[in-house]
Amino acid sequence: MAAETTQPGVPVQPTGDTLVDIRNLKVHFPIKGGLLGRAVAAVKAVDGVDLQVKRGEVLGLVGESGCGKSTLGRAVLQLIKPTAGEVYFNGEELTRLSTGALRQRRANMQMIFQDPFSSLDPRYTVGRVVAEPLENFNRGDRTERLNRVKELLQVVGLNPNYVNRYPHEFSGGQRQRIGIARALALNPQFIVADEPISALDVSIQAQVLNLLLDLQNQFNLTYLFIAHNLAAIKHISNRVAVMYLGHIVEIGAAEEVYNNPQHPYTIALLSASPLADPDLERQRKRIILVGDVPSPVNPPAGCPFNPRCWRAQAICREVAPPLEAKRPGHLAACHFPGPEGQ
Amino acid sequence: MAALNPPASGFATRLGALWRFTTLNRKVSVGIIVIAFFVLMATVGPLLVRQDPTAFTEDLLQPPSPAHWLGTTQNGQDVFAQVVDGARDSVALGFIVGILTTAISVVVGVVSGYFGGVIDELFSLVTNVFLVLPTLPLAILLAAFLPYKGPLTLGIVIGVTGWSWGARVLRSQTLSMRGRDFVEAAQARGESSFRIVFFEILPNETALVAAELLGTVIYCILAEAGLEFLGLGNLSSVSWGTMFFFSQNSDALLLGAWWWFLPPGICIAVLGAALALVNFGIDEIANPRLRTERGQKPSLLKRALGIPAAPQLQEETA
Repeated sequence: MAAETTQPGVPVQPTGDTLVDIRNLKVHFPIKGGLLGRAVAAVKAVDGVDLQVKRGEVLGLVGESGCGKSTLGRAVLQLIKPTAGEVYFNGEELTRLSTGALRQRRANMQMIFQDPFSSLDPRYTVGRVVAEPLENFNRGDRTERLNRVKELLQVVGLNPNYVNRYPHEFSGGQRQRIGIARALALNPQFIVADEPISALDVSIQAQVLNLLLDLQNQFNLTYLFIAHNLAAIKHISNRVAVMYLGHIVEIGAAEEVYNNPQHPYTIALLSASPLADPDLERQRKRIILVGDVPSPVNPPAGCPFNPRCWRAQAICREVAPPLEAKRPGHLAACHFPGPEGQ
Repeated sequence: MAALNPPASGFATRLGALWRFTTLNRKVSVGIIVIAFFVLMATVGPLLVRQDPTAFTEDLLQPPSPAHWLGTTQNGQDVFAQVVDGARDSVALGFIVGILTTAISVVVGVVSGYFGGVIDELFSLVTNVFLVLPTLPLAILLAAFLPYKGPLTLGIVIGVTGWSWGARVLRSQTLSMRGRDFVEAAQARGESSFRIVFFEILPNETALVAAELLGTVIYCILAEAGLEFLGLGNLSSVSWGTMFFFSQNSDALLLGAWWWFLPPGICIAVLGAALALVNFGIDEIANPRLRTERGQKPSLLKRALGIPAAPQLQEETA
């Protein structure tokens, strides 16, 4: 797969175990105003993100609504053109590829969408929905494609005889399975799952989550798993990245981040998520953040979290803390890191 | 359901789909039968009528009789022959211009909606200009000043003035489609813009396009009749519009010669109604949700004969 012809002028790097290497990625959406419709300001949805996704891992990306996690996922796949920064996929810089070359690379990176009701074309039968990527890349003839579709439906736990049904005949969980089958059709290496379970019933969430994990083992997939459900992220991820206002504020192994959160935002986020054990739930101290998320049009100077942080000092309002190792393999962007109560 | 039927060949499937559409419900069936009747009348009708529609006879302004089924005009021309012969001009022009006009609005609307940016600005500007132009006066002006009078002129006039509304509607619909996840999913799997526009977005707008097509055909037939009524068409040709023109010129209404202007008027009204009836069915066929509801209600014939509806097929089990 990596031996596809490379485009001249596009840097290629040896990759080792890194599949996706995101460097200083920025996505700014212009706000047009005035008589001439010139850009007067920009929504800094993603504002300088460095992130590496290793081969075969599940990297969970958490953060509250509007922090830029979906935008980051889409920018990695070049569905949104990044304003600045680089994305290396298999060592190849995606942002500088021509449209045609990028189209070829798309077979290797797919997406699972949040809303299974709008992500399937209502006029296509399930068979066509899943066969569409195969048709698009001219894989196989009609019968081979049909067999592949049936195989894929079986893989995601659906009856292969459903090929002639329409999406509206399925439940939310089944539709999400169809979306997953479609994403798997081309045997991709990398899948961005954009909140794949948040639109589903709680009873179905675990099923889909476990299906995603099974598929990952079976096909050696790499996921960028975007969610705001902390428990789901903990269940599925090897590593977790926490995002706040367009920045990665903390990243590390999942257990490490959950047990030893360094950034105050992560601590607050974890304290907001309920524990299953009622005794522990009653004992634990909850941190209620004051204020709202600042506008990404006009982010605060210094650390983006400083207006809501109870540890903020003068330096936080002036100097943006770099994302650096606070513990082995555990990075955080904070001047005063460490778990609460020490 | 489909699992029970062996996969049919492409052509047979198309034919089957057409048949299912025709028998979808009574509205569509009636509409299609009426349209087919007029199309037949326009194509083979003139071959079956003995009289020459333009030939003058001795029978001036005669009411309907066995010799002249729909009476005669001031000049003794046979009205029935004129109605049948006129159908050719009216129906052919209506359908051809309707299809071309719809094609223009589809291309302009979908392209500007999907691509946005400068293309959209440009197309929208042109669309807006044509939207605010008063179409009938413009059509009258154009038809009056263009040197050549005939179906081509009328077609151009109607096409130029008729496409903007549909383009505007399709543009809005495309804008909404473009934001749907399944379009983004198509982009994510590397589909070309052409494929996305014509295989993902446009099929979801079938109902709108078809409704617009039928609406435009009605508009074209009416506009043609209207312009010809005003004497702006080719008066030496026979069509429903020129029949109006000559009956008005000869004071048919004052003379009580209802058989002269009523038949073409009824033809236009019935054809328009038939097109509208088919339009009702299109929404049903274009929306897969409504498609599966079929076959549960027994047909009128079956109900009359007391045959119960076909039992619902059981879900096949895994």
